[in-house]
Amino acid sequence: MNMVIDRRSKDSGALRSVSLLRDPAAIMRPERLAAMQPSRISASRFIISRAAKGRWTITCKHFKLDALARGTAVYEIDAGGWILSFVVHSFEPKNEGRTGRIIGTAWDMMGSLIDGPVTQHDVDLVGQEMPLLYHGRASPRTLIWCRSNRSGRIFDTTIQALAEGRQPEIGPLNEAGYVMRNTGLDGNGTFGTRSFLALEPNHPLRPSLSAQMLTAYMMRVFATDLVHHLAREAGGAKAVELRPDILRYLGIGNGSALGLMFYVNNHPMLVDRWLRARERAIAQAKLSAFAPGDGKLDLLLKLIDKAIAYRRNDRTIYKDLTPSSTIADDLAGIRKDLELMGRRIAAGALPLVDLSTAIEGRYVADAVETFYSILIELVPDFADELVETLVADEELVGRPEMSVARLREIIRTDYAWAFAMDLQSERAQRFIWYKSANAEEPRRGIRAEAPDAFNLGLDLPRLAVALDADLAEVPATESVARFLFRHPHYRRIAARIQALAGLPYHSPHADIMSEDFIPAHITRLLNGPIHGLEKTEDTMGRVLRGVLLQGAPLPQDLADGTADPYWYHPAPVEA
Amino acid sequence: MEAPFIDPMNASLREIRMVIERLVQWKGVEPGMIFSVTDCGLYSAALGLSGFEGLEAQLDKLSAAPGAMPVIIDGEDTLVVDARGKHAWLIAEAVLDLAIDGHRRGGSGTVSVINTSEPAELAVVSAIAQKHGLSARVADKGGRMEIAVSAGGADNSVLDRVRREGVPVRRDLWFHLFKLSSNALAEDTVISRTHTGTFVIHPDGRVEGDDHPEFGQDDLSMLTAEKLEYRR
Repeated sequence: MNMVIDRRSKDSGALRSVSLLRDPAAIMRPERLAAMQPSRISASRFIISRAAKGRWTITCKHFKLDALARGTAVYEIDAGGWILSFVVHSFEPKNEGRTGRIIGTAWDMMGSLIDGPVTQHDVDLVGQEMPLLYHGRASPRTLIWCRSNRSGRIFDTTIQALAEGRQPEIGPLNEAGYVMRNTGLDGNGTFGTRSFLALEPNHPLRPSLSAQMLTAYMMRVFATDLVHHLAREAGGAKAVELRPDILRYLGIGNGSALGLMFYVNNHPMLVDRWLRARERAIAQAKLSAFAPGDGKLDLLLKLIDKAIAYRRNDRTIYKDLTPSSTIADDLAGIRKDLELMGRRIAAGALPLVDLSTAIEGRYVADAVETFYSILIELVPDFADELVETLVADEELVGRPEMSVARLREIIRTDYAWAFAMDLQSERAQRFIWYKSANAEEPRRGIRAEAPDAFNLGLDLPRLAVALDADLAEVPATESVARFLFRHPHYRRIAARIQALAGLPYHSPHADIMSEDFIPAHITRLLNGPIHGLEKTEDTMGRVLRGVLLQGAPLPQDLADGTADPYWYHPAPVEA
Repeated sequence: MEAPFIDPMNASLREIRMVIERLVQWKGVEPGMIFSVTDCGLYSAALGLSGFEGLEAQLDKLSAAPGAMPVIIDGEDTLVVDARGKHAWLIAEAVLDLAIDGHRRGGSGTVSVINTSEPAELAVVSAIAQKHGLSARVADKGGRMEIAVSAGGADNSVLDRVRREGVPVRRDLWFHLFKLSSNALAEDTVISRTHTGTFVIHPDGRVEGDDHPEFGQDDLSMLTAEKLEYRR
């Protein structure tokens, strides 16, 4: 792990902070990206923090469902004066066409997050258009279309218990962690929804993924109301509602698969910006001075204890990802190191830099990254300001006048990792990425099994290496414009390389066409540190199932200003 | 089934790029040029050139274009590109790049183009230039198209407008193009369905993956059906 630390320097904190940013060669490998953890920078934690600070209110304006869950609901969100609406169409569950995959055709709930208040006409339009999916059109004020399904494990048993006047059995509830799970969040132009870059500068959902995360929160709100409604329908006056501590514990389930690899390929600016925000926040936190009684050490120890307990209670079985028990053990080790640090620091010292250096390589990366995520809580305002900058324009603009020599320099510097890879063996080129014609499902398979498919995967290392080889054949002073005139097939990759030049964290250092590549690692990068999901269980190296917003404040907590700022890693519910 | 909704509708930037990219891919444009040609189609629609109405025809002409490579003819004060019959969308960005190269190196930012098919479509460079922070003027000089680049791209670029408002298109035309674009997607087969998911049933009946209790209500027949019905 390369870090440059100049203890003699009297440079400003900003310079020292920059010098602590981790080398992309160390963290852009898929395995390390997969080890990164949710933090204050994550989209779901950020939206909760913003809603709590602004004391957003959520009001149910309309709820008309029958005993079979058929009907509509409308919620109004007041985001600090900016009104949004969440329109729900709820259906009687059916088995036919039901699956967590994109090819599914039946959902228990479909919803729409819309700018501004809505009328009955808007509600009817959503019900008319959304079920058509790719043949439907969202209204111009729509931000997100979403879908969710009931948990197969605890939804029905929860209703049964509440209808009988009691709380549901705690064991299954703790294990599942949600009563409904997300099966689709679409926005940013899909189905005609608003493009996010066109959102007004003061729009409360302007930072990337904010609209999706607010929608996920609203799914959770509806899930609660649905469960209570169905319990009342079944039990009448005897029915009770879920306890508040249970309601907070329950998040929203989620499954993510190969599509997120396309997302990473198509959003290199955002990925770089997000990881740089995380790295800058970690670096800034490492520079925190400690003084006796300032509470910082106590906060870190408290959060580590929560993380340890959360991991110890996690019964998820991970395949290629690190087991929670191992992470818990190593977090306990880091905790001891932190306590020791706390007993030895002098006032005004910067001990976290030394501690961070010491723990690398001694503990599993997931535990180290969890610790780094916790460190960010030492610099909350700094971190929140960074998240506000997470609005990226992905237009990759080339520099036609650049010389061939300069472009080769960039390739050799920024893609040095590509030249060290095996790009020739059959094993390294076995797979193809594509989408199926039905439902546009992203898939990755052996080329021979999808012979007519167009490859949609970004073959980044091969393209970079091949481009460099052909650039080497032309005069160094020739312009890229003239080179591309004779080599038009390099146009896209050349523009990408030029536009991303010097950005440290834009693309995983990976050959995604290789048999050795595990797609779940990159899915984890999105799901964990960027989205904020926990317990992301991997299956077949390509699908991640986890839980979002587990422990998050309830709407009343947000409105009252009583939301716990450290709501994540909740303890299991007690009977 | 089409709902009685807004017609013409506004296709979003993302949708336009997705559909045109697929059509371009289906028509056999080489991978490295797909994005460039896609954006030519985007801007043709946004600028009111051949647009969505003429999209299929343009793509047919493009894929039928002769195979000879265009050439640069360097003159003392002039730069001419002989497109040798290539469609305008296949050379637009290359020609613009040459003009930008000349402009930024302190020389002439003007390039002339001869022998391109659909020369009027070269007007798309006026929008493409804006991403470089530049302006491009296209003039028909009687059989020769002249592209001149200068400083100062529009603050409110064509791309910004499309982001905010989309591009209007007749609903039936849009869904026709959308359906046509699915030719670039792979046929769904029982084998290809095993290329994702947590639980797959191979054609020989072998089961792989986990049988998670959370998904006990899922319709497993979707994994083994010869053909999946889907609304498109």
